Amino acid sequence: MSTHLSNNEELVGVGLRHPHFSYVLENKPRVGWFEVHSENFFQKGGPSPAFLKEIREHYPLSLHGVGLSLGSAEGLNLSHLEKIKQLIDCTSPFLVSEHLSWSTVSSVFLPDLLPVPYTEEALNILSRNIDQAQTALGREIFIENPSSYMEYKDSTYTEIDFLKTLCKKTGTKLLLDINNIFVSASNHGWDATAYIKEIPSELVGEIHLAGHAMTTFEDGSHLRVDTHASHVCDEVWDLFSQAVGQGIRVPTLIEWDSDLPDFETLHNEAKKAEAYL
Amino acid sequence: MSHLLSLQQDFLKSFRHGSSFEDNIIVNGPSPQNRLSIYHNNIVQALINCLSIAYPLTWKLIGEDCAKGAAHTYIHTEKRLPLEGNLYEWGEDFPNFLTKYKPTQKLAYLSDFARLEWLMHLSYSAEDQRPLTGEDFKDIKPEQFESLLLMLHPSAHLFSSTQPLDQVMAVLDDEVEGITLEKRGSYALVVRPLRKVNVHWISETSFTLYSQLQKGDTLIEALEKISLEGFQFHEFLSFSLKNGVFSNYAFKS
Repeated sequence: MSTHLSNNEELVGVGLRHPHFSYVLENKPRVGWFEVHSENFFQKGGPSPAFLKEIREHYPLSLHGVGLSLGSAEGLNLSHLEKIKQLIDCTSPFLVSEHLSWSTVSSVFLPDLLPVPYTEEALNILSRNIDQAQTALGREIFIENPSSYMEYKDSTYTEIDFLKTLCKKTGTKLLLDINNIFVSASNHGWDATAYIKEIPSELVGEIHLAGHAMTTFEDGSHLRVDTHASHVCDEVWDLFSQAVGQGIRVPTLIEWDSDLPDFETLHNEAKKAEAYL
Repeated sequence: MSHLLSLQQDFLKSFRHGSSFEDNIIVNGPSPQNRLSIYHNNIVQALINCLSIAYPLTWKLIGEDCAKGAAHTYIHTEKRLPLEGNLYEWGEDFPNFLTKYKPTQKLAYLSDFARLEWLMHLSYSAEDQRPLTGEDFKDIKPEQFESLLLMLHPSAHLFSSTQPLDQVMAVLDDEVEGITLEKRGSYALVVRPLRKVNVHWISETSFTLYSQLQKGDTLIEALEKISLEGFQFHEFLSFSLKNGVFSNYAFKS
């Protein structure tokens, strides 16, 4: 699906947010592709869908969902799924992705990417939901590993084993977020290098790189939090280098969602990623 | 009930009612309570962010600290959580909450101003349609005017208030510095014919006429329901066409 992106410049994309739309359309920066959050373009009309249509005329596009809630025990929201389908039909993205997380329960949507326990039951529910989504959308969707701040006592799989089994069951690939691996590994005492070592290159369809922050609690303990509000840190670049060295050479995205700097800053991060490829 | 469903429901209860969820979490370094608080806080911050996107002028009007405080209380006391992942449509009843929120309760205009802003928010994302121009009417025969229906643009919303919201908007637009609000109402037409949402302050007569047209009256029926004294129809029509208020017409059978 992504084979037409071959050279380093084409392989690296940037997460596109509203404040940069005009700049991108006016300056047409040399960026391989753009990724947007699907839910930001569910509106019936107005400037946002019009901007996206214009962007699509000049760049390959990836749709990254934050609201489908693949890990919901109650199943998928069909109306949400239909909106994604309509957006796919309108924009012909080369990649579509979602998260290994849940957000919806008892008809309430909690706007965060909440972790699922790594159990057999969760594996079956996620497989069922991913199958339903891929069938309805008529295409493969990549699944992003989460940034997590807690681990469930009930989990019987490690995260990487859970993800590999899920991919095997559903035929999907991973959207490997290297920053998420680093954040989760730091928060839970995992070995991020060993985590990446266990990932077969053929299982990865896309990579995300982003920044994070450290939160310190009153008792002096701290957790790393996935904020997408800063530069990619050195440790994440090193892990990215390790992944590339393992043969994981796939479309790679620079994500920056909050405290957005000017587009040039994001572009420079993208150029840095190109150098690793 | 599946274990996963039970777990997810318990998480929701922990967010809504502060009930315990920590027993599900492995103890390792930072306490389960602190770990859980990251998720709870992310949800609150995401919802506050949603409201700030839907109500940027209200945010400016009362100041960020006050607005965030109101949003925080709204999320925790009203328990009105989103029903789906399209957060653009969440927050409609925030203006109603503002009438009950003590720090802003004395600002009589605030809730109506926020209601107007919600309509601007809806207008921004409404279906696109080409606005009618004078050229579009050239084929209408004189005998057809009696049954002429004028459809308002999908982005058009009408709003009336007992407060002078136009004065409040002028302060926000930096057109005037601090002012004494007059004791009168205001009538607004919100419309986005192309990319920009416009708010037009209109007369009560124009407001009634647009309202009747929106309800499905023919132009003639709508005109019969307004006072024609001092009303210039050609000015009304010219204003409407210039500002993209109509997007279609039809004839009542």
